[in-house]
Amino acid sequence: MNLLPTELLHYIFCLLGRDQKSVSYISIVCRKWHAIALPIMYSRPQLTRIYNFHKFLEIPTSSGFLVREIDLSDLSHRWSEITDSDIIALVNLCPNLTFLDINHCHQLHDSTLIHIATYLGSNLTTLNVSQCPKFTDVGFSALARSCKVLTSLDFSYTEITDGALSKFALTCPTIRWLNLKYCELVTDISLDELKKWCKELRFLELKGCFGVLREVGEDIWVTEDESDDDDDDDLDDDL
Amino acid sequence: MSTSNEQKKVKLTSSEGTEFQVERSVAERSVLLKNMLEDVGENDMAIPLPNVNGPILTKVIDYCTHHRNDPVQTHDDDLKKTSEDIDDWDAEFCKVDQGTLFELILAANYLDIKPLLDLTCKTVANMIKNKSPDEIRATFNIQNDFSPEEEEQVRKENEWCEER
Repeated sequence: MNLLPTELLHYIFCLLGRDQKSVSYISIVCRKWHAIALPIMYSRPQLTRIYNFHKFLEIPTSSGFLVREIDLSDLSHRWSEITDSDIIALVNLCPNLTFLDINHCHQLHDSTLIHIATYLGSNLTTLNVSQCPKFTDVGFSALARSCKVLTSLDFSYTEITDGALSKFALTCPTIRWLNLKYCELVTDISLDELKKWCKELRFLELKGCFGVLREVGEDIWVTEDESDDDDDDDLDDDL
Repeated sequence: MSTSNEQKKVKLTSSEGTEFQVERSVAERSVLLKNMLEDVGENDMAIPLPNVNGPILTKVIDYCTHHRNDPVQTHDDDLKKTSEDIDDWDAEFCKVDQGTLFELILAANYLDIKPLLDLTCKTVANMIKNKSPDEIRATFNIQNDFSPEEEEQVRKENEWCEER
């Protein structure tokens, strides 16, 4: 088996990529396999239990550098168990993150967002902070100041306001996908700013944005047809 | 469907110098051979394959003959990139000893036959799956070059993967 060149071993191990347990066993087999398996194992770790999450925070720094995507969507009890210090430790451990989903972590405060902004701002392309009720414009504004390469943003069910959203529109012209579902503080002002600056925007969810009074069709989805006065926007409802 | 190309025979020479004759459509399952044939044009010369021995080339030709009419693989099949979904003929084809399997992987890689590379690599992946590190070492006869302390350390670092 070890007669196979490294790139073919890598190819084989990648086929098991979603099977985290198998890849972790591969990494124990011998030194060579360990070196090949680590980047596969750490690039998108799947964390489903609080125990595993806390164990993950104990990985060596060198492994933390390999982590590219963290999606806590499958982590049960994150709404009550995950705290600011957990996410801050995670961000410190994984400075190369480009994708972060911390939706439904109800215990998080602005200090988490400020930390994310400071340490991940230059790399982060996808961020989901949906249903984190304690975030305010202090945190959102910090994000807007630092995150300049975001393409996908989910602020749904948060208290984000026009002020913070307008800053995002200015600093992140790269946004393609934006979810503002039930952001009840958002009004037409945000929409104007987004239209003005975010020429890449392809998807915008406004369901439950009761502050948006503009006619955007019965289903409150903005689509190309319904907003005929802003052709540049190219807003689309199919992602 | 019967273009003149399909009837044409192509000569291949294995590492031992044995000559094989295959139809061009079979040979063209290999991107390497396809490009070579396009480059040289009309030519009766045998193509030497110094990296592939006779028995392995026979197997490769078997595979390419069976799959000669398959549609060209597209690149958006990343989702299907799991180690499952191997059809019966392919599974039977892969019932060979480990040495042969690894040589097939090397040949598929060298000849650039992506579906054969995927098939053989998936077969190896399935041999790894659901085995403990010890069982994997035994299956593939791999020397554990970690010291007991180092192995313990790696296991500890991997604890976050464990299901509890």
